[in-house]
Amino acid sequence: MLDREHVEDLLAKVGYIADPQLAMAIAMMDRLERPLLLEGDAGVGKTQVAISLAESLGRKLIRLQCYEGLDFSNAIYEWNYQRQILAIKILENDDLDAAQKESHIFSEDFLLKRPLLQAILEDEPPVLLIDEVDRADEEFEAYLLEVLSGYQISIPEFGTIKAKTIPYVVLTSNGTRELSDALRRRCLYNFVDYPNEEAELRILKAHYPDIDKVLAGQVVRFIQALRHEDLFKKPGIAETLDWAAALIGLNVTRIESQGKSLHQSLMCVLKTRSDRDAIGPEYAQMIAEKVA
Amino acid sequence: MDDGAHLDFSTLDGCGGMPVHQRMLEFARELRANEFVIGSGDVAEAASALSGIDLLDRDEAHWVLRSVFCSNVRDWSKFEKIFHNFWLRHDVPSTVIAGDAASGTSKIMDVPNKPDPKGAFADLLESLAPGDGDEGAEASGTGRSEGASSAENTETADLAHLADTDELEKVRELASRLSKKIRYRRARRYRFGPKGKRLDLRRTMQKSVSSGGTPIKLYRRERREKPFKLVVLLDVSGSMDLHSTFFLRFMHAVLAEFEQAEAFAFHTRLVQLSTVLMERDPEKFADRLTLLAQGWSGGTKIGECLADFNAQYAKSILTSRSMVIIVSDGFDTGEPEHLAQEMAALKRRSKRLIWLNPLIGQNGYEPKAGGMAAALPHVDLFASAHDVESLAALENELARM
Repeated sequence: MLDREHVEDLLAKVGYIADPQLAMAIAMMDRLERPLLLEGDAGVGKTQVAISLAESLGRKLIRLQCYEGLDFSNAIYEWNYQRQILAIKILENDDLDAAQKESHIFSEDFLLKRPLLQAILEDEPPVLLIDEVDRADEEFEAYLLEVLSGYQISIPEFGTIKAKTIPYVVLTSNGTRELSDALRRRCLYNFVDYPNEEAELRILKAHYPDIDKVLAGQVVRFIQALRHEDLFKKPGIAETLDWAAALIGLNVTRIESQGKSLHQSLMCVLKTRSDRDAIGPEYAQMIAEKVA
Repeated sequence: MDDGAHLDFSTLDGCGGMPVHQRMLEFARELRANEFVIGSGDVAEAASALSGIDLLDRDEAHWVLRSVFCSNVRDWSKFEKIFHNFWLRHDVPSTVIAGDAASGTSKIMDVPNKPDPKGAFADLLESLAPGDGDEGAEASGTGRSEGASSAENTETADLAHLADTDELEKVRELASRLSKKIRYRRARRYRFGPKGKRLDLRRTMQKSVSSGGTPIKLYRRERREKPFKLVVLLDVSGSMDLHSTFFLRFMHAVLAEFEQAEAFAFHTRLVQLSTVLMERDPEKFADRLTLLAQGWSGGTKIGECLADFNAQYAKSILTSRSMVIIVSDGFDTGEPEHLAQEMAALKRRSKRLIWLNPLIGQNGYEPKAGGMAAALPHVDLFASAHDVESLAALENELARM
């Protein structure tokens, strides 16, 4: 059984710095065998939670990317119709009776396992990541709820498949659509916020252990300052890491003494035209001097 | 968090004569009073989750309960305060609940308890009350209501003069027709349908059993129709007084017809009307509108209201299958740049952005009012809507999208 500190250590080993609240939620997910719903702005590392958790526990990561129109044949299971037709043709001349033929073509060999089915059939509990669940439509939520509440799937031709092990289920949502109350109630909840200065510094150092200490501090404070600006797309953690990598590659040690190239390097961080216009070269320089 | 205080989880051990589960139930009740949705199973689960935790560490317990009891961002941000008020206070818990619940609801009750509303919008609302539509329109000072008496005139009469029930019925029919035309748009999801282009392999196989496994009859799948969401933002400022009554009626009809629709009114601030307009009983409808109207006055701040909409509602309301209609004359007291910026943001989030301007029907009007000019580049359709004819023309315009 996982406890909070254990989770924090495990995740830190694979470079994910979790705040105690999140670590506690993951420990609860293990203890209560309930899925964990993560909400928060894009780029705060929601998806990475599942990826890092799988890596740190040495478990398989099964990912279901949601999109509009996702249905059970793409998420749960589908029969392999082409193979079934072939099998029927091959069996035509055998003297098996109809029932035997039927049980043959509706056996597990002909079942295409999609992520949700696959996740409950693993011998070791995998981490099941249901990414951007808000992009799927309401109908899909109903299927999902059925699987997540009973951890079993019924296939009419085959019978009910019970979970061998209960997977760790992590759902992420960006709030493009309001999720149903039923799904919310089934899940533990955690709102993932942007990391504070200290945590972000730890994240940066976990990824680039050799980074110049002063530069790391400047990068983090600069990004933190940017997040307070009124931007269309606030820079996430990935942007911080990209930018730091770019600066390291350019042998930059102080961001305030870069002149024009400071603004140019911000293409790793400001990714829409309006945001680039909002943070012009002079303004970027001003922030850089302030955080130096 | 006040560091000096110790979490009063000592009560969990029965201190103060209060057993663990009892106290937890009370905490759940407190949360429910704050609009949390908590099932009875959740309480038991929370208690069992706490059993493995060091209860003297209040952060640990806080984290556990927050994960279990919250189910959305609103809960998430409220939780901390409620938690600390409840567990760190040494009062008798029942008074905490009573006190908090009372103050919580009194906030909501404030609005309806205020005395009669005043001002132009209130007059406008009176005209919405059933049966006295004629008087209402005349009272609102148009002075030309005689023009709306014959049925033939209805088609060209300015909406502002439409008042009697027959003509009102026409506006409603138009709104219903309009909404039926645009209610459904094709979705990505497929389902069984004879005219579809895609083969439904599952069904084809299933039905081929009777022919010995040879798929003789092919079954197909077609794209499903999905409801299209309509969001209407209506300007109810002073300059729109002549028109807002009828657009309110129009919105009412549209909301009744659409499966998914939202309505907002704005002035110097934004108010969500959907819940009010969905009221099917006309009397209750007028009552509730009157309540909403309180405190409304002055000019228009379209940019600010749109910013409010974008920040608060756009994320959860708008989808790729949404159409936004703004009804306004474009007379704005805010900064045109601000409006342009918010219009751009709104456009990004919606499939189609339409601006209906009642002034287009009037002689010599050009969309030059500062705000209007700034908003135009972001609008997919800029159309006149001051009478039934212009609304009817719009019907085809919308159906073609």
